[in-house]
Amino acid sequence: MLKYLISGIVLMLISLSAFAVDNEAIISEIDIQSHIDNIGFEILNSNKINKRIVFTYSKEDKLYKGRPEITKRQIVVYGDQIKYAESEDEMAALLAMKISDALKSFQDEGVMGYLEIKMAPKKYEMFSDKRAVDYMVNSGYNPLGLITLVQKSCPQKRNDWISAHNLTSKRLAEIYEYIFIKYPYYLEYNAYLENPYYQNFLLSSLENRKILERKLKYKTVYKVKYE
Amino acid sequence: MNKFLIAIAVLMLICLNVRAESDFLVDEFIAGKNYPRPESHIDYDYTSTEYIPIKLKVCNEISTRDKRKYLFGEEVNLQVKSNVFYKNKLFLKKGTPVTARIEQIVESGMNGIPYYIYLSDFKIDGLEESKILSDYYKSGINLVYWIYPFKWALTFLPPSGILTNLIKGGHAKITTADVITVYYFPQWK
Repeated sequence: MLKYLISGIVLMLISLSAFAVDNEAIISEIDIQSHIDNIGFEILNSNKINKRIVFTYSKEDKLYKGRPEITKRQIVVYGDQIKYAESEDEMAALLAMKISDALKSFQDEGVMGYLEIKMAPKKYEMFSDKRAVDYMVNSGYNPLGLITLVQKSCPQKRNDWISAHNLTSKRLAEIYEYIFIKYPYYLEYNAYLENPYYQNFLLSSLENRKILERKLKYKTVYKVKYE
Repeated sequence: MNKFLIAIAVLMLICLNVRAESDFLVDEFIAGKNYPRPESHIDYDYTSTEYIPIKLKVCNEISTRDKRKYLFGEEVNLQVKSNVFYKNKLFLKKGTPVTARIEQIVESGMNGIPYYIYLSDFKIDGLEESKILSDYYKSGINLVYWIYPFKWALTFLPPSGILTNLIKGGHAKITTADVITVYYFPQWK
């Protein structure tokens, strides 16, 4: 009899602890979802975006998933993306890029915008990056958070000839140029100067910043080609 | 012992001297210019549904054929196209100056994607910018609709589908005859 009682108590304890783990996981997911919603809706409101877009957190990794932001206007933040968004600026950067894609998919009843993003993903990747900078500034976030997010989360491929993505170094250079020309305040009073990821960006973008220097020095109006 | 202390002191001094690298581009072009902080719009109230449509037109044609097409952020001059009335009173006079900025210019691309010009940051004399709702863009001739099915039709004859990559869309042009409508919400915050 005693054996039964002991085994019963042990089983109860095991199941109770399992519930506790589940609860913690659920609470943690609710917290993350709430954090994403707060920042996401703040960006939508501050930028007067009058289209319906929702935000969803998914624990799964993005690998082999579709792009629900352009098909369902549902911005899904995947587990392998959120882990890089350490600060509020970086989370805002992550969401702002996706909001830009979702918004483009509303164009011309959705069909044209969707097709264009699918057929020219690299072009619209750059477009989304730049729009994300504007969205972040309008919502009161520091756009340099986009640079640190891309710097630490996007790998540098050998080339982008047959890829659906631009070289990360090109993206970073374009974002930097956009901030440099449109929002120089954030570089003059740089809150990210002590940030190791930003410093790593400065270190690894020396060549591209030299290209920008030449452009600014000789007041070239044509688009420069970054490497 | 003294050597040990001196070594520690030297190391501490080295550590204190290590500071973040500054950006040579900022030092050269931005530092000391005291740029104002860009305005953010975080205090809003969209309760009111009352709005006034304002029709605008550009003063000079904007075309992506222009050599200076890559100047994003460039200010563009517009004017109010016709008198605007609100509650039976003249609200805005025809010809009132308006400014906007070129937010982005998207270049044309493979498979018939056209150029796009996006305008934003509309500023109208005497009106609050935060109460203006705008979403204006103009594209060139978009060929994506017929190229996309054509491309798929050609997939049976590989690699002929790739040929559609050579087709680009048209240039974008905002002429003085184009009507740009923005909406002013007087009760918005």
